[in-house]
Amino acid sequence: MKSILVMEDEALVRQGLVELLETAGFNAQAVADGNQGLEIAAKTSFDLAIVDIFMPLKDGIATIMELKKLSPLLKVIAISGGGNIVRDFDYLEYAQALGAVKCFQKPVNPDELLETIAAVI
Amino acid sequence: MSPSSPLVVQLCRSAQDDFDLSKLLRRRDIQVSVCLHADACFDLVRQGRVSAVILDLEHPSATGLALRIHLEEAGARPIVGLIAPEYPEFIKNWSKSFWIPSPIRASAAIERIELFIDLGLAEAKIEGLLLQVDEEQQKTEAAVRNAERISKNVEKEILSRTRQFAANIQTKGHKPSNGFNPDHPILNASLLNQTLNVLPLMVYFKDSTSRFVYLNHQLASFLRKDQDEVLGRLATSLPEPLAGLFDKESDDKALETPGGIHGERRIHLDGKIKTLLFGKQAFTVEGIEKPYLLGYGLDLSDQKVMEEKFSQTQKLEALGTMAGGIAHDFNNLLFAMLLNLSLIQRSTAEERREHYIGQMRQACERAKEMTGQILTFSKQQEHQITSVDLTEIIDEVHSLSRSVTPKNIRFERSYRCLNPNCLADPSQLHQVLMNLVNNASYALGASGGHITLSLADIEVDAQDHISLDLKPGNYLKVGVQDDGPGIPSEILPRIFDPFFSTKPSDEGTGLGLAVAMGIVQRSKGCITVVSNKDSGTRFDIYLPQTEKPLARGDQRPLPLYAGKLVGFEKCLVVVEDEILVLRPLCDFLEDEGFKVVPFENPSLALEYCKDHLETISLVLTDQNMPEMSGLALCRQLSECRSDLPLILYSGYSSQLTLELAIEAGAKLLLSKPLRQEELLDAIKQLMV
Repeated sequence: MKSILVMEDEALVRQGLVELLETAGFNAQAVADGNQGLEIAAKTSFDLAIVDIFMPLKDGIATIMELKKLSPLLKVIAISGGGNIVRDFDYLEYAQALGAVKCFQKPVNPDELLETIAAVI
Repeated sequence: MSPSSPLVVQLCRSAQDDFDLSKLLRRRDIQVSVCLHADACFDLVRQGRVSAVILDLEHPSATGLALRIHLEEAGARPIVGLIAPEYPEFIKNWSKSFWIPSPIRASAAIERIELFIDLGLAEAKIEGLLLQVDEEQQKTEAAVRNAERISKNVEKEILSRTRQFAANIQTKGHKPSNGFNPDHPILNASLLNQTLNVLPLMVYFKDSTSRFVYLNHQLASFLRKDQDEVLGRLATSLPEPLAGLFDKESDDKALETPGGIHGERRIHLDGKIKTLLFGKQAFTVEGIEKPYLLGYGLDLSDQKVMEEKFSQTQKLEALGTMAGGIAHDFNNLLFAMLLNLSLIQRSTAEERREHYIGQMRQACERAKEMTGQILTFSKQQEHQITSVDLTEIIDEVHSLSRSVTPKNIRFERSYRCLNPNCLADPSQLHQVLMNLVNNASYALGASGGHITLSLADIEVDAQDHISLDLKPGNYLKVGVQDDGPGIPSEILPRIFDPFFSTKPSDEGTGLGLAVAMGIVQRSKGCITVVSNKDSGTRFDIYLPQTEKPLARGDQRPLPLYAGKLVGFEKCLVVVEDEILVLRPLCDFLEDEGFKVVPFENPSLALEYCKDHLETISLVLTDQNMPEMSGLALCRQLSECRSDLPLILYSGYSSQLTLELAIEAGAKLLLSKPLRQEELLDAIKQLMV
């Protein structure tokens, strides 16, 4: 069974994602910020990480950078609600440049997300 | 004459002595004291300040006095001048004595006296110098202090003499001129004029009759007049609205008010609004009985324009932040809903579906909360600003907070004011205080601590009003203080920004303080915050104090609306102008087994109800509808049938209170969005 690590600070989204992924037959684990995510990624190997961009303590961009150092082969999908501190800066583009295989703007169509995951792993 | 000028004592036979030294010597900066008795003369000598004693040997006590002085201690001994026709032999060996031959030749005598005084002074100086050589080192410091004191004395003396001089001029019939008087005691220094013309401030002086005694260039150019055109005149010679700034009435008031009057004035000048900082106060000059008026003015218009521009920019920035924040949070909630919808579609087990629906509902609730807060934040319409007793609100907040915060957080209250009434919207103020208390208890966290709610009255004066951004006046200050870890200084300036939050996104929206700021500012108040690591955080809300409760404002008129009759002949009447709400509401109620008559239009509903009074078992109505409010509908219905169960529900109308609803005949007041269980309970309860 393929395993997926979800990093998302919004509890409702986090839980929804885990349930969706489990329903789709993946082994999913979820944390609320980048630091916790990196801690787990250091101990366990995953096939894919889904990383939210705006998270407290450590944001998605910094997390993806460290994640790529930690395990260069790990596939990453970035998701973001946009807004907030964005202004003239496209964080999703930046995430893609850092090596995320796909970047989604929330709200993401769950079917599209599952299709992308299936194609990536 | 300074106190240090030499003092000469003359012993005379009578007040009209032939030889009146005093007249002659006074011109030469020598003080003269005339004594008729030897004892009085000797007393002066013993006081030690006398430089010379002039004795007429024809005076019966003169010889005795001369001897007594000669026998005095050397240091305090003055020079003795003896007036006699012949050289008095007995002073032959006296060091400090001389002869003034009589009959006196005035000029020669004066010369001699001065010479001997100088000699005596020189001698005294030599003696003093010799002493000083020994004591100098120890005395340096004392001498410096002494010099300072003396210089102060001299200054005082100069000042008092200047005043005296001015007074003399006055008493000699020198009337104050109506025009510019360069010899006027307060203006005689050209330095003053120069200084006042350099200051970026309009300055003027007026006399007690409100006529200009002086005005500087800045004021003259503000008035577009030459100084001479204004000097000596009343302000009535100026065009309006300028005259109003300098009118006699306010001058008189300023003269009577201790500390004068100060404040901001706005005037329309040349089609522009000018904001001016103005003040005037009385000042007195010693020797002049009537007070003068010192006035100043500062044109703040440019500064105000900048401030407004700046605040516009800030508003735009806040809007940008806010739009971004809303987008982000809504996207998250929408995503959560989409995820759960997708899960519902995929799931077959009823139990799982229920769970996903629950999750969706949570997301909806959160979105609802957010829109509620955004509404409050952006609402520009009228507010229910009334006179509020703040102690009542603080008491409510106190009891509510105590029940929802952990027990290790202790609450304290302190009220220090006689009149706790202020102008505000009570429900919004409640929200503001709850928000501050929630933040405080969040800051205290698991370790607990104290939260103090305080109320005090405070007078905001002209000095405070700039730092507090409040108009001067009486205010109530509500404090919410915690002894938590404080707010880090780097984020302190941002805490009032919309969507700025240190809480995780599912615990706070970052709107709380922005909303609080908006509410308080709309009540013409302000919020301040002080925070540091040692003493925690303190928020103070300033609200304008009122004397008595104000009357409630009228409800705003509603636009006309033509609705249509949707159904008839049933016994539960639902009135709701929004069809998107009316339809599912009726579906739900019918599913629950009720017979429902829906109305989009309250007038038609009223007509129907009047015709079917006995067959209707309950009326459920929205408050905010065109043509007729739910409240008005309830009022009319309860007039027709007082026991008719009426349920009123409302979206966000802060004007609507339970009291008002009950007064109108409603049995219950519910808030939108309606929760189904709550609604069913209410209906069942009323229909029993």
